[in-house]
Amino acid sequence: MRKIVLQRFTILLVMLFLVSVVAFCLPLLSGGDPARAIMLSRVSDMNLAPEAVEALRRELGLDRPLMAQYLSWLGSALQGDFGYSFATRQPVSAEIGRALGVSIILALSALGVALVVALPLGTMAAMRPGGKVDGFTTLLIQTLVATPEYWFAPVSILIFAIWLGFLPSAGWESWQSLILPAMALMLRPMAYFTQVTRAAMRDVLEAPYITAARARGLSMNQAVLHHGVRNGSMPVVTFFALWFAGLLGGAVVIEVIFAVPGMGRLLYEAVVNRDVPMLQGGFVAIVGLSIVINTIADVLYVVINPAMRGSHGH
Amino acid sequence: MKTALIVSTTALLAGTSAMAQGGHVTFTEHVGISANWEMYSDDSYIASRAGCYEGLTRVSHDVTVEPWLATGWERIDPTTWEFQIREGVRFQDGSSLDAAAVANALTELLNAAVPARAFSPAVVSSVEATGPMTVAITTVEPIVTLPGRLAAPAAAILSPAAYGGRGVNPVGACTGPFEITEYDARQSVTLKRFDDYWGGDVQLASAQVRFIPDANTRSAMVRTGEVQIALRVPTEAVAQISAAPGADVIEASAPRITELLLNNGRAPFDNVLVRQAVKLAIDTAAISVAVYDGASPPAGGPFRAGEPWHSPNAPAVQRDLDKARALLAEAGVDPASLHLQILGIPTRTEQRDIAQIIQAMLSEIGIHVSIRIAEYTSIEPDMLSGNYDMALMSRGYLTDVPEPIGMLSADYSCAGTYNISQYCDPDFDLMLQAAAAEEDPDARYRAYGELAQYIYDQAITVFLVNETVFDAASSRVTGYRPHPQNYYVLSAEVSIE
Repeated sequence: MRKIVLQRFTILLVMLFLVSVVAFCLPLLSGGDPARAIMLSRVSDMNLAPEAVEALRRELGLDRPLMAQYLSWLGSALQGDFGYSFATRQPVSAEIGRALGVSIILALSALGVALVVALPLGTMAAMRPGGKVDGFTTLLIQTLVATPEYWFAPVSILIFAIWLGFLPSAGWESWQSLILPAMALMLRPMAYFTQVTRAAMRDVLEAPYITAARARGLSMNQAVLHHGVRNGSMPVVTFFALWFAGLLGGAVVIEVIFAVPGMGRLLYEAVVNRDVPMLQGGFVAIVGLSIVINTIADVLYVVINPAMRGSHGH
Repeated sequence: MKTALIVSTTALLAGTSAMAQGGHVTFTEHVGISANWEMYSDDSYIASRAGCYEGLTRVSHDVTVEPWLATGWERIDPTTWEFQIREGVRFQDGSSLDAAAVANALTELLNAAVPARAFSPAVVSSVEATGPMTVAITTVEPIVTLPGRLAAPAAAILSPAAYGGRGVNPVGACTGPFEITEYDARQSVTLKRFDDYWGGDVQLASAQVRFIPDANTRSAMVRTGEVQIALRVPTEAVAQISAAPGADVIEASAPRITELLLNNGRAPFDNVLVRQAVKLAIDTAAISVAVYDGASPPAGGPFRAGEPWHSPNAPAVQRDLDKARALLAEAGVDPASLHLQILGIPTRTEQRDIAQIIQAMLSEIGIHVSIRIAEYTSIEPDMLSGNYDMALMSRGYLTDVPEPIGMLSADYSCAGTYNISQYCDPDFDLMLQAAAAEEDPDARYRAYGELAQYIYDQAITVFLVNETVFDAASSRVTGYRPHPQNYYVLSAEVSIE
């Protein structure tokens, strides 16, 4: 286990360095003058006063050589100081912390519900291949995978906010605000979790230890409950971690449609506003967390499955 | 006894009329605080629309400059203006508005790290309190539109306490009917009524601005009643909102034009005959119907009919392909030899459609057109340097100054800072200078109209549609109407049943 953690830590450092370089270069890659781009994101008129652009360049330190800008940022970042947002003038780390909190709640809610539905559904489908539940599950999986979030989100607003009036359309002001974005976010992970659970349980149910358990007099349900679910849920743990890491910064569409102040929207607005310090800090946080989450998932994998101890090194 | 009764009844009635109604209104903006309330940024517009910021002057709904925190002004020499400051105005922190506070606010604006274009050191050299309630503003050059510039949200007057930290802090620093109590740069601004407002009773007790980036979500929130005013809803949502009970759509003519910029600096558009041919080949009425459902009318010149600077002799062009072909022939240009490109930006989703329509229309006179849709920042260097053929643009012409002189000068003068058309004509510059110096407003507006006519006749740019915008509001809201420059939303008069 120590080997896994050490290996992941090394990857984390290398990735963070690469991400910092990419994040730093992003505003340059989009073409044009970064100072003009930042100014254009702040004023509605595209005819910019040249003296204002030059003043902004000086104020943000964009008149210094690129390498000096990067090294100065890296030096501060290594001490945990990601600087101040160009847009809000608040410390980047505080803004990211706040947005991450929102995204973690949203992602865990969506994935939690997805898991609660997917595990029993996938297991039941696996127990009767070709049966009614299996057919329904296959249909459901295909439907959910093919349902784009940008379509489902407005439709859910139409139904639950406009027609039924149950839930708020957007914002992040009460627990009710969580429901629609979480619903929209959980569709695809639920489909994948169900599919993975079904496939894993199919393998597990054909394993000799299930046959042995049945031979000892356990019913099919008892055998599945006591011996199957634990083994069948292992791939789901990996999937859960992947989705969780992905949703932390990847729920842009949902966070923009529902005006959720999470990491996706933070990064989206940082791109729109050319908020370089926020982009750098946000990218580093997302990639760092993704690696940490996947490392935890690997460790959990070993904990759940004793057979993997000593052999699991990747 | 009878006299006493009448006096007390009168006092009671007066008290009743002075009592504000109460109620709460929420309205939506599409972007949040993007520059920590720096005056030069659009954050100033947010604070102005929220009913917090006020300036020395304001722009009425019929686009005339009116007194606001100043009661009057006088131009005492070509470069010096004197403004009389309104008595009895308090900032929300309790301090009084006087000449010193005004001079401080405007000097802070001049000294800001990043200047606001409406009131920058390039325009104004100094601001001085010349009396307890008198302020003198000296401009770098003689400028007749200074009172209009002072109406820009960037030139709002805040109390001295607003300045000094990182950026500007508007909390408790405004003179307007609403006071910011708290804000979250990405979520909302919370406001309460300012009870000591100088401008009379404030009808609402509280208000909120919510930042909702998605246009369709903004539309939905008016229909559900979560917000009472949604600014700039998409055209395609208009029918649904109009049909919804309790919600109305308010149409407003924006001082904004969608145009096809032609690169006058190189062939083939350095030839006026080719420019006129292209103009005649484009059916602006068809574009208006196909792309805007007819809501944004086809344009002739840059300005909308009814505006004081509109040129009546610049009607929307009637498409005439034969004449267009004849003009190309007269210019000695074989249309088959023309392979031109139209630039557009993805954030203006309608530009892709317009580009495709123009592509088809120009192909009918034999001109081959390709389309490139790219982020504005990536194509701007090419446009500014003249390395392009044609570009679609949505251009506001009353930004910062409630007259089109800024746009005319920036876009069409030889030294213009936004002369994407690459047009340079010393005669036009002379006309421009004369218009800018004209002190009589009516004569000045006529001069703008003549400049517009010149641009139209020379086909420097092909003007496509005059843009119409739509706001949505709850039927319970009264006292709100869209402002042409989008300066104001909440005011003392806005109320809710």
